[in-house]
Amino acid sequence: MTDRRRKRTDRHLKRKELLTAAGKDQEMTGHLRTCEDCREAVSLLRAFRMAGRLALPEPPAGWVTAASEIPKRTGRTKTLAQVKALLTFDSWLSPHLVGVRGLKTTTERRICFEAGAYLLDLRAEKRPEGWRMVAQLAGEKADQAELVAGRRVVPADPGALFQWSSARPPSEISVRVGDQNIKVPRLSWKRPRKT
Amino acid sequence: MRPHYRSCSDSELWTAILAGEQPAWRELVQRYKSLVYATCTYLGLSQAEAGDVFQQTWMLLYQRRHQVRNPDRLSAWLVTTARREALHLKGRPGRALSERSPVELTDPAPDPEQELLIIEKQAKLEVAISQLDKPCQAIVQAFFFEPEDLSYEEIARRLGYAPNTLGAKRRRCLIRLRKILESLGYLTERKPGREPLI
Repeated sequence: MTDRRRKRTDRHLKRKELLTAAGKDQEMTGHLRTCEDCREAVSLLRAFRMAGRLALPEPPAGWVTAASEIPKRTGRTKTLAQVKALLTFDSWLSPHLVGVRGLKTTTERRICFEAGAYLLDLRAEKRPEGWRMVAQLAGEKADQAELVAGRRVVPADPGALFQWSSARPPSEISVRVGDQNIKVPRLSWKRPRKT
Repeated sequence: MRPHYRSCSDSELWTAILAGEQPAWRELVQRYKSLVYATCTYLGLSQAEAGDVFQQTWMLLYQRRHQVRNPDRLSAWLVTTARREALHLKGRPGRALSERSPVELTDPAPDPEQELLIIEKQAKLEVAISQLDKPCQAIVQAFFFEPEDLSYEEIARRLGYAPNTLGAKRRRCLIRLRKILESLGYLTERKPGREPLI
């Protein structure tokens, strides 16, 4: 009896055979005509031919948390007070020491702004694939802020850091924090002429 | 507020999101996080770039939530937007993904558009499988997603079942899976590109 049963299970199609059967959009024949188990498998495989594929990768948990909290961050409907930020430092505008030369002066830039009780420190680095930007906001509830660079909205991480990449550096940046919208002066990315 | 968002179809979830139910949004992110991430990695983005595109895709979906006309096609919208954002990030917004150089044409790898469709379908299947109970998940995994094509005896031994009961168990699990796929609206076939996404 056991042997007979084992023989019956042996006749069930293996994955490769199920996939072959699923690949043919014909009526089910042979073993499939009589075996409901395999018919169900073939029928689903026809709709989803994913057998043998590796599972899709999981994104880092921090990314998922940040994306999950988008409604919380953007749910503020009240009008934000517009605050203009003042430029306090720009590495491209500061004079270099006599004799100091190097690529860093043109491929890296650091700009700092002040707006009321907030300080924004922006660093930009040109890489072969584009610009890598890192900004840090200091001030109350800075870790809940959102930085808007052009049409890109970047949420702050727990350390109040904003990180993003783009083909071109942003000319317009604003930061939404608390009930304020801090507007940074328009940025020019033309390298300063040597004098 | 509905307690069981996991079993909601995308349309039902979307209705809850429009009603301002934040747990529904969280469920949607959970449901399609791997889809958006897999799209980013398939397109060859670095980890930092993928992080940008991942956030931007979800942000755009939330910002444009009132313009969504066809919530059944959210997964397709997410893939299209992630791809568009990836190309924008690379500074090639006008370039279609299917445009390949002559050298690449000899590459036997699947067509990118086709591969993204497969990724989208796989994400849906993974969502449905995650709603099965643990024994069924293990059976489906062993039969269909193990790298090697295992025999019934090997699968039965691994899972601790008698070989002659495994066929019926597999069938019951697949029927359950089919019901979940139906309830989530994933078994409705559509002609690609015929209906507006948003």
